[in-house]
Amino acid sequence: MIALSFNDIIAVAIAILTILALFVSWLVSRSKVRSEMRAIEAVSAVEAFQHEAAEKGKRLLFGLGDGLTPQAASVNALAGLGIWRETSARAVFNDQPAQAITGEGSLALLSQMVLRGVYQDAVAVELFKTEQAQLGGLSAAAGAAGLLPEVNQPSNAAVILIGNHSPIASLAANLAGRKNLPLAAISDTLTAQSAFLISAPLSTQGEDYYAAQTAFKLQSKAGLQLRALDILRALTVLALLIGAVLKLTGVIP
Amino acid sequence: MSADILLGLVGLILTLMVFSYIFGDNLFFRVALTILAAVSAGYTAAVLITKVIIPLLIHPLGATRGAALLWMVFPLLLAVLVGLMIFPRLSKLGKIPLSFLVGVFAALTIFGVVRGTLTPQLLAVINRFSPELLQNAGLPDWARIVWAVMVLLGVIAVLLAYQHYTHKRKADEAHASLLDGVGSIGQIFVGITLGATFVMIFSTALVALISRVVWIKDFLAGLL
Amino acid sequence: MKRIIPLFVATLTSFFVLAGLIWPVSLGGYLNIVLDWAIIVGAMALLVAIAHLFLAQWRKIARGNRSSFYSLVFVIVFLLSLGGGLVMGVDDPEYRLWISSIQKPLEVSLLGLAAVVMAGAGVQFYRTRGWSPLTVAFGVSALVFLVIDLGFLQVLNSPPVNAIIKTLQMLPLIGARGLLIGMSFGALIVALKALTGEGVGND
Repeated sequence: MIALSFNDIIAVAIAILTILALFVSWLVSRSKVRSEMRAIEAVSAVEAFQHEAAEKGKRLLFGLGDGLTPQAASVNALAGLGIWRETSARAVFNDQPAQAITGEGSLALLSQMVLRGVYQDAVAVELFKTEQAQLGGLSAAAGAAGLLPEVNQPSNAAVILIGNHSPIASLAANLAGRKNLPLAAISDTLTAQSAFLISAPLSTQGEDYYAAQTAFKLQSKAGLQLRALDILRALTVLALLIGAVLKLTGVIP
Repeated sequence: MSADILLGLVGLILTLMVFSYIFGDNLFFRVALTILAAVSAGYTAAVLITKVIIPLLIHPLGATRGAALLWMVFPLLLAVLVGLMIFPRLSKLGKIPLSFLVGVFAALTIFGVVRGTLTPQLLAVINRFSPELLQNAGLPDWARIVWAVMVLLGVIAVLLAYQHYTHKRKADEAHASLLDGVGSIGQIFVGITLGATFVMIFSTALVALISRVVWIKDFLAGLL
Repeated sequence: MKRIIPLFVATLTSFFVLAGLIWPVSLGGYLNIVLDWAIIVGAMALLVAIAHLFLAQWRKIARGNRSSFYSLVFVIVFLLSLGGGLVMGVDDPEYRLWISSIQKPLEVSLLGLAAVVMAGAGVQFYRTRGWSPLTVAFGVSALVFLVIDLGFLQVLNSPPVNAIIKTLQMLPLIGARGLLIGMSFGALIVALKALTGEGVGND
């Protein structure tokens, strides 16, 4: 029999509750309960950028950041791939397809894989080019160095920075500003969020990062994720209040 | 000209090329960026080949015999499938090794987040309410009590600031405005955190800037 | 069928790695083998991504694009860095000195440039972002922590001032804790979704 510590029990409870929250949010999404999503300016802007790009015959540039590295063992970077897929799908037959630059190898190949799937779904796999989703540079500074020349291209309609970025990426926001390019920065790191708050015209803070996938309202799966987050939020608030009382009364050692 | 001076001159030129951006985007800045991207890619490729692929994949293949060799077949197969992604037509073959990689990172994330982040963070808030911590020589320690309550309410306010969905029913309007109020307090705490984080990164960047300026001054003084 | 195989691979791998992390004594040895495989696959993926980057630059040169000059610089510098590492060895002190003499000034200067850019953006902060609880708290906090970071107040060596500074320095931890908890739940859900094969293409 394995003896679980108090921390282990909490960890197991969190994992089970998260799975339950996903299930409940799925049930809620099937019911007729009417609810309204909080508007997030940086996220809503993505769809507007998409329309603008199509109208102008220009492209959307994505900086997908890095991720999937042993140093930052996080799959947060995958959250950006959903919006990349949706945008690419809408731009398959545009004059200029969307372009993604990543700061890490596996993410670069994953973004290519996603793009290939998009072209295959559109029965236009012959139009797929690996250059449309490629590595920019490795390390925070080199990643920015790879991204900046792409921001500089005259074919851009707008820039979307989404994923794990470093504060050096604020240079991309500055360059986009100098070129009068609209830019939305959606990052999962605190350092990048604070740098973008000051340097980017539109950016997200905190867990609004995960709302990015709802940029295109068709993505009900993304809504499911946010509902699950809301359920977990309510449970966490309750757990904190009850936990504090139990601790104060000595029930929890 | 000694190698030190040559390397110093290279550093000086590259530094000035980067700082030329202050006057606007230009050819020198773009060349500097290209050099950085190329050097980092070339150096990383050399490190990966000599420190990962050869010692972890190629050498064991030659040195292993018998059943142990079977353990090497799987990573070799995965590596070959990823390698074939170099040809766009064969890129779909990479789906299996990339799924493997995503699986590994998903598991590391789940374990890391649950065991290493969420549990300690939640307990850190709750543990502030330990009766021993809130007393000083048998009397209530009001400073600690106020701080514990502030941390609890602050964390709750930050969490509620990111509530994504609200119900549309009219009866919920009061509830929604209460949520907005708490959310605004949460936004204040978020602003304080991001402000402090900004100062931290700005100070780091400022130190980097000053170190380059000082280095240029010292290098030029050394030349003269 | 095409979706099932990646799903199966991702899920099986995840469960195995999780089991290895939960029961390190019985499965730790196997877990290390799987993590070594992940390092090999990750390294190979990075090499392929670098190869794509090189080929893209090469094609730009072949097409004679407007930006082919930069591509030429890239190809030359890349080949020199890679060739140097393979011929001299990446541990060779001379090779490392050359690489760091190029990389370090560029990386540090870019970070320094970010300071200039952020300072410039700071001046226009309220014009671009407007006034809200978030922006006001951000601005006040940045100003207060900038003053504290300068260290002038600490020189006064006044106990009340030091107590205030200590309390102020703890305030960001509240927001950080809340943000970290929220972000962690988000990451957890993304990871659980990744187990279903999401993010590995949709064909």
